[in-house]
Amino acid sequence: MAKLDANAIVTFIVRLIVSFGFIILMLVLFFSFRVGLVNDDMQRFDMEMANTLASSQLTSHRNIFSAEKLFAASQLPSVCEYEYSMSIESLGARKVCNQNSDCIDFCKEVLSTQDPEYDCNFELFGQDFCECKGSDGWQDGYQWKFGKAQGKLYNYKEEKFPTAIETKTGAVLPATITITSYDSFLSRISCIAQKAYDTKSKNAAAAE
Amino acid sequence: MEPMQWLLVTLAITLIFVVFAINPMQAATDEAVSQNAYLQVRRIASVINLVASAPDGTTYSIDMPMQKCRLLITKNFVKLDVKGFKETSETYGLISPTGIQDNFEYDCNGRSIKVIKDNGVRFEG
Repeated sequence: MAKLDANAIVTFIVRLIVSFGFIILMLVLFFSFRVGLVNDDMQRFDMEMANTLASSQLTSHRNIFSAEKLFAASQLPSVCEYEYSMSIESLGARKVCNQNSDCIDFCKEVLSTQDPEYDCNFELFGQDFCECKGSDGWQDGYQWKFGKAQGKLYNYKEEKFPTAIETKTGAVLPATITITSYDSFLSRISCIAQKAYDTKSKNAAAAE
Repeated sequence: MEPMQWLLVTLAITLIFVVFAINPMQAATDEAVSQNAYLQVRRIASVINLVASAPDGTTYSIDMPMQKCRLLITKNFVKLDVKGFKETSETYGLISPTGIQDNFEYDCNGRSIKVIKDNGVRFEG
């Protein structure tokens, strides 16, 4: 009868445990694999809306917004899924001034009003510049804001894009357009209602 | 067995498992994504939104999923009914005004539709 070698048995068992441990570890790693899908819906919506606005009725050329049309803007593109707000601000349109009266014409043009509130802002270092009081406070250039979030907000996303503004005098200034999309209770409810209405209208038309 | 032989056997088993399991898993993931009505409808809406603001003559071809589905595009939204393991329906709004002239209904089955900007947006199946 062959003798059992205790050392060989122990070595065999240790190797067996190590091997199975390794296989189990690999199995755990493999099955813990998860696919994460990030759609970035709101970010995409901001880009699509910026692209739509860039060729909308508010522009004089593609991606060049007309100041005249922006002052007269009544209807903006809309979408069912999200509410959104849009702001356009000119960059580097500051007017240097020495006294308040230097700012009258600048503020008339920037605010598109005949009776603007204006001020020559004192700068300790650098040159003084004109500021005009618009509906959202003091501004030193062109600025428009449309839309705002309403009701309970679940999420929002803000994106900035480069653009340009054509002033009434024909000058083209660099600007930034900021699109902020909001996912809110109100937008969800109104969107459900609109989809239900559109689907019903479509079915009714097909039945006739 | 020598330690190196143990290691080789273990690695071989693991490799066989990975090689044979990764393909079905990848296929299952692709299938899940293509059957996800929400992703598809969002993709189609995105293309229409972009083409609607593009210059006349812009054309984009959208590949539709392989499984049975029905697509409806109206002036305000895109609706996709997917008949897969379970039936799902998703609707997504379009940025208005879209310039879409007429409603468009389409039975997909892996075919593609063309979105054409031509004085408004129109579709060809």
